[in-house]
Amino acid sequence: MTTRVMLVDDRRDRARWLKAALDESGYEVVKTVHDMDDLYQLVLDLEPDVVIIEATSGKRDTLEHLGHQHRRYPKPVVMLSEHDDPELLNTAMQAGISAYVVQGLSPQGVRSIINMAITQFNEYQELQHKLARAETRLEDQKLVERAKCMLMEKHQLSEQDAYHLLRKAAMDHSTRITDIARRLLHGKGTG
Amino acid sequence: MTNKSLGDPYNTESDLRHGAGCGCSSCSESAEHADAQEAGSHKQQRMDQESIMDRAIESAVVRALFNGHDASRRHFMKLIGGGTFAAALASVFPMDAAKALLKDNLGSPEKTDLKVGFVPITCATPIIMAHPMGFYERHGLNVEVIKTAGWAVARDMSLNREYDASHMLTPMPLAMSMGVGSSNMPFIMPAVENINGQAITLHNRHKDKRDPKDWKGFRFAVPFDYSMHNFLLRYYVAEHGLDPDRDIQIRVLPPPEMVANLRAGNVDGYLAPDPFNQRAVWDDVGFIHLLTKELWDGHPCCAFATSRAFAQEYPNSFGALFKAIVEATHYASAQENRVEISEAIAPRNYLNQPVPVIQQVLTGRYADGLGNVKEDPQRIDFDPFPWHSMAVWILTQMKRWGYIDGDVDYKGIAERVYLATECGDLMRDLGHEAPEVTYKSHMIMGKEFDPEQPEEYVNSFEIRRS
Repeated sequence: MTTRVMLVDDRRDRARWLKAALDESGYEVVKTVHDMDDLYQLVLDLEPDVVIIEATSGKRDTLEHLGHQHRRYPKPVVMLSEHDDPELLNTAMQAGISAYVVQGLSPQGVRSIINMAITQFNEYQELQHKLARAETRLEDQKLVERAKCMLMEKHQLSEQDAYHLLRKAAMDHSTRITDIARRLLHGKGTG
Repeated sequence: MTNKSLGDPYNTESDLRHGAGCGCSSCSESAEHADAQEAGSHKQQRMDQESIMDRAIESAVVRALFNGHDASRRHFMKLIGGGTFAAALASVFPMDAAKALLKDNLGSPEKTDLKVGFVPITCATPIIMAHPMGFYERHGLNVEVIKTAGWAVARDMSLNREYDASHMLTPMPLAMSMGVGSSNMPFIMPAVENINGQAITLHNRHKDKRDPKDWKGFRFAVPFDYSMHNFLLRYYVAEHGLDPDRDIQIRVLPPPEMVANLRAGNVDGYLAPDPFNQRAVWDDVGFIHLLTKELWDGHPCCAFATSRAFAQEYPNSFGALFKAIVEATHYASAQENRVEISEAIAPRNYLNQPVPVIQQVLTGRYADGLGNVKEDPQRIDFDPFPWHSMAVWILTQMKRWGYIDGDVDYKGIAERVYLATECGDLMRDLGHEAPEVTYKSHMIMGKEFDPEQPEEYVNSFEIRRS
């Protein structure tokens, strides 16, 4: 499957050079976005796999917003820059930018950077998901602990008895123990 | 000299019980050790009065935490490591906030060549005009003001410290300090740039649709997710029964591209910073539906922000810059200066706009695009004081619309990021009046916001994501 690239660049000479390099590397440039094109709608309609944009472009605000709002986004974003500035790359990567291209790269260079961007982006997404799952587990644990403490205090139970009570309630209602804990803490049902 | 009682409170070797000249056996022994350490590093020799003060505050806090029991403190530090503890403690006690960032007596700036970013909108007036009108120079600074195309760029240039300080939107330093929407780095907001200064502009074809209830399906633009523009638009339509996430579409556009997008019909309207509301009228593309001042008179808009690290590393440069900004902000707030300022900031290297457009914004005598000439001198105003209660309001809206979730330490974050106390001191130093308190209630569309009850406030809204 060809990788579909959207190129956002107000500098037409550079955009042309980059498009040629991308074509040569086997990418499909679905659109080159200039000045006042409706970037927001174009991203939604064309669903590119990668977006390439100038590091200092104000349109990055639009792309970040798309990243916040839509489940299918963010997409890996590759930044264009005149300068090879490792500091800027570092900061940008933390904001979700995956790599960036410096003018003058060979087509091979462009290809490896875009491939790297996609890989890094996917790894980063995976990491984010893992983190989110870990956070949920931690929250669940906290809920159960708090519910247990509440039962122990209210009914003078041992920790083990409180836990059994919760587990039994969960089994009786065929639901998860965290749901029982949540209901208990929000005052619905007494256990 | 060894400042023994001012030893590093996170160090297992230091002893916080004994004074510098203490002659007890344990002291003479560890004093030698300390001397050896010092020879290796010049750091402690350069410990000036201010760092002694900082250290004293930290030591006092750490001592209090261990009830003055120094042996258990040292044991504990050994177990978990001083650095870990310092970080953990900072999360419950804003150690940095206890140390004043603004020094009482400013020395000459450590760094005189500074880079300050701005996005070309009238909100940045104080930051911009301070350049051509000599406010930076007066404080011994050679500031380069750098036109920046958008907020993500301003943020990243600030995060990587390419910029020493920057024009931002008032919610941005809060979001950045929490690591929401970017990497996490402690930012501070010494001063608000402008209050009011935004408007809702609609396309000319909607002249008959003045009731928000008729806006279902409209596409609106705001400049950034973490902006007062976004939060005020959401608040406004929600008060009229529209769900901003379902009944309308809100997209982000960099301000300089807003008029063109309105003309092209890509959006039906926007809640934007000026001059782009007035510019839409000037270009006969849209009309001003209302000024945000009509929703919340005196609401914060843009900010002057920098990293906490900059303020700590260059306290004198930071102080001088802070002073220049507060002075420029006061100068801009005087009505009689607004015509002159309009001419100073209109040129190509700053806002790049026709002078009459800027003048209509800054003087408040403006055409609304509906055939009226309106008069509202407070259309945009300049007041540097960063109320903590404003930060708390912003955080309530971030919670309300799902930008943050879970328990929010409203006041803790507000006080770490907004330097209200320091700004107040500086305003008084410069001979201006400043509020004695940093929290007050605010009136937004006739509804009172009490900063003491943020969570209740969030839950009081029917339309919300939290």
